[in-house]
Amino acid sequence: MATATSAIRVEGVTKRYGVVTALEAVSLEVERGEFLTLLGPSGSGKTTLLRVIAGLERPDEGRVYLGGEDVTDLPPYRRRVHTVFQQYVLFPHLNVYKNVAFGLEQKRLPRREIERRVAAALELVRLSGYERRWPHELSGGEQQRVALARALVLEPEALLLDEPLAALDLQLRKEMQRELKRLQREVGISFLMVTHDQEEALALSDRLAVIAGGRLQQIGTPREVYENPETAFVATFLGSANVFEAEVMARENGDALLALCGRTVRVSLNGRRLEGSRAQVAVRPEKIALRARPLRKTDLVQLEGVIEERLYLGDATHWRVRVGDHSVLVTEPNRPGSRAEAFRDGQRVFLCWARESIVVLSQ
Amino acid sequence: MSERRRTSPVLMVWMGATYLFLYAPILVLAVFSLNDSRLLAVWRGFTWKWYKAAFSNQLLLDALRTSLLIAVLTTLVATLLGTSAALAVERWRGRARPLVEALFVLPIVVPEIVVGFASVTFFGWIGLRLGLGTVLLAHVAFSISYVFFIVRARLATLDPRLEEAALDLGADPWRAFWRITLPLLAPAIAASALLVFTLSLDDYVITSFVAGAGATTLPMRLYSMIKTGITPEVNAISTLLLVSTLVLMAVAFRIERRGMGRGSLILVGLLLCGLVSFAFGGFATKRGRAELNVLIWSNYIAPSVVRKFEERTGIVVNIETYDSNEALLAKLQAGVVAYDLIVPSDYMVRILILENLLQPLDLTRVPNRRHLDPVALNLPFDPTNTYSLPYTRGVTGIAYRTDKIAEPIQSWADLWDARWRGRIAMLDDMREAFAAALKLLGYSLNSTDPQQLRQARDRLLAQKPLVRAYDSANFDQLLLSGEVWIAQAWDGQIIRARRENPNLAFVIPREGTTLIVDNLCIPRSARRPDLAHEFINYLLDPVVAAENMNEIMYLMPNASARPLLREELQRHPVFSIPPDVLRKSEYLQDVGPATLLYDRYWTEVKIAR
Repeated sequence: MATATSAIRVEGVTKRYGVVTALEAVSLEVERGEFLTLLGPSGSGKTTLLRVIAGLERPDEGRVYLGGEDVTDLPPYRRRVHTVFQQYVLFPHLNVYKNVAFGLEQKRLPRREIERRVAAALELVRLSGYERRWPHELSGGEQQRVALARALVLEPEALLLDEPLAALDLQLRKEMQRELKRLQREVGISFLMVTHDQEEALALSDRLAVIAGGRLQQIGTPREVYENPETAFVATFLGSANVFEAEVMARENGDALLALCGRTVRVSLNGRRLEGSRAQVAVRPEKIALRARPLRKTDLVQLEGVIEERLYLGDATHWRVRVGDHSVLVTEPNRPGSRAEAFRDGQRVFLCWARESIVVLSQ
Repeated sequence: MSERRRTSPVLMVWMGATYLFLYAPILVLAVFSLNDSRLLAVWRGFTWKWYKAAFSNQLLLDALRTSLLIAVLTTLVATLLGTSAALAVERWRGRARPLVEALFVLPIVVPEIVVGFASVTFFGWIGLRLGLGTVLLAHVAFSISYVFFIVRARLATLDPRLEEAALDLGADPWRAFWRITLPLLAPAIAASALLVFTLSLDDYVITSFVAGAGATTLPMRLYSMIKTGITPEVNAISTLLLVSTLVLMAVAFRIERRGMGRGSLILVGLLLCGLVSFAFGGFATKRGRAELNVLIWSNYIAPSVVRKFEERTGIVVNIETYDSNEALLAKLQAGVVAYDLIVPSDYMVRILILENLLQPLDLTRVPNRRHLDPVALNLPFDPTNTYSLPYTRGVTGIAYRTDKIAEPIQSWADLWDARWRGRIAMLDDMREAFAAALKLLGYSLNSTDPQQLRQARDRLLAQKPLVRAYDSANFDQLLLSGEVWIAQAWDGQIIRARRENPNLAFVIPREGTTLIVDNLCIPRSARRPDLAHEFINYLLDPVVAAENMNEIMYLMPNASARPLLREELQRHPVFSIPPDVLRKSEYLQDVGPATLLYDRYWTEVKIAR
């Protein structure tokens, strides 16, 4: 307890439903005031982890701490975390005021205090004047704000958000993303948000944790995780990536000499251990350039291939290029006069990227 | 503006016809409750008098009170249990859940008559006496399922996360239930409560099986009134019942659709207060006094006579009614009723004696028996009057409209007269129909000879094309409305109907007929035989008997009371039966195994085209 206590700490939490293991030995910490996102495909266990923290599920193993206190054995109504549920789950028979006041009433606070805090919470989510409205009269975005106010008004240790934006349409989702970020900065409490939307995760998080198959895959700042994915799963789930098999020729000074598609390339291991004679590496498609002719500069990796497919997506073009056994994905932004526009299917091209763009993955 | 599609006129007519089909009978009932005539079929002007009559009929009011009391209690208990069951099953993740749910369907799909019979058997087996309590138990039992399914349906649409959200926001499970789950279920609970209330109020079949002393409900009372003829009082009370049921259903529907608004809440609250105060009002006064439970045909004892006995003795007399001798037998055989006095008809007395269900009377405690006419004493079903004393006497005969049929009617053969084709009615009663045919053939009406019975059947088959209706309940109405001109009939109803139309005659056929005596008996299971004896003696007092007869218009074999009778009763046809006709007349007796033959032949007659 000597160190500054984190808002949420989860230690070795395992949760099983019959033969299915939803969470396996997950450990995680959310710092005070931090916005941490749990990112994973559906069925990865991210919502279960949220429910374990909220107290709605009991873990089979492991402990949950809130503000340094072990709350594993406490029921949800004794925990100082509150949840914004997917589709908000507002109380349909209570108006906006009553919904927001619900938690305060459970604490049996004086009426004036409740009125003051509800008003403040509604102002915070920009819904002043909506007190007498009913949930079914509100738009999705407004319901979302009520759900936020209902949880924030209790000044929790941390706010848990379960896919808070999934039910909104694209335009509103972008708006609410900014809104969430603003709110979090304003109230200064920790947000732990579950999402399967990688863009949302990247845009909002101080740190993000990728979870799959009930296991925590990687945790770090969005830049760290994106630029330096640890596993093939993370590399392909967060953004897209070309994953190549390579042969390890030699190791020296934290670098490795790899045989990649017939070329020998020196790459940095970034402190990762590399065992055995084979390795997996990842290259992000936007870090690859397409050239009609090879460049003379030698510190670039250059591979020769044939264009298989072109997909025009407005802001960018996606290419599929056949290189030996691999089908390599390349994305290029559509700038005026981009040379890539001239390429045709079946044309021979050269793929070039910097050595620094190669990430060695852990097995 | 978008063009609205017009509904096809054919569809509109079809819909109109459907509604007419559904509601016309009910509308007629309501309209005729305001008709200034005893006749159901003829409009004679507007009146509230049947409503006034209904509200001054103590027996009807008592039955209404009993019904409301049972309905209120059933609603409370069934709603509580059904809602709890629905919540429990909803949360239960066991493998047997579908089975448990299916078990809740059973009480709804099992025929009521089976439930009723099973209930009475069960109560008998566990030694529970039939009464208000058993009706309540049976009603709760069949009502729970309705509550269960309505609340379950609502629960299924309820997001389970609502309760989780409440827990998450700091409410403990109890508060989460009260603040979130219960208010959201309230419309379903209220709707099911109202449904249960009306189901309980309306139930007849199950109730008639399990009702015991002090538990005659309104539907039972109404049904039993049919035996002695329907009066517009019944229309009035039925209309009121219908209107209140409709109001309740409308409120239930509104709550189910729109949720529990303040308006509905106040309305339901007011209704409840009114009901409860009315339902419990009658019970406070009766506390702690000796009670005598009488089971009797409806309209068979004058309320004023009962009231005077209560005033004189301080005993509370509970009058229960039944609608057939066979129903009475079934209740006594089940051994679960506690009646102190019953009024079985002649042949049923014999059966009850043989079944050992009656106790011998202590005649020393009935000194007023000396007023009884010897004609009604020492009859074959109880030759020494050990178990029974006569209460009323009657006779089966022929009633006809003198304004439609000019010549005098004097023979059963007149019911076979082709000139009255389509204007003839027969009693819908196996033994009475055969009695007419057997007497016409010159045989005993208690014949067990297959040859004679076959001949009687053939006579009835030959008569069938001429017959307009087989009806034991409304033959007086049929005659009054002119739908039928001539009918096999019992005396009491015709004597009453004569007040409406003096062109109604009642004759006793010269071939002889059925003599009827209904008797005062004390069941072996009676709890207060002492009070029963006291009441029997009171009823046989000439002044009391005369008051009783003048009101109910049935004749009693009380010789001393005869001078006190009103004129219609003085001229009762029973007094003027010629001796030779009387000699040829008989009491119905149990025909033993021949009953099967009667049954088969009667069925043949009824199904013949």
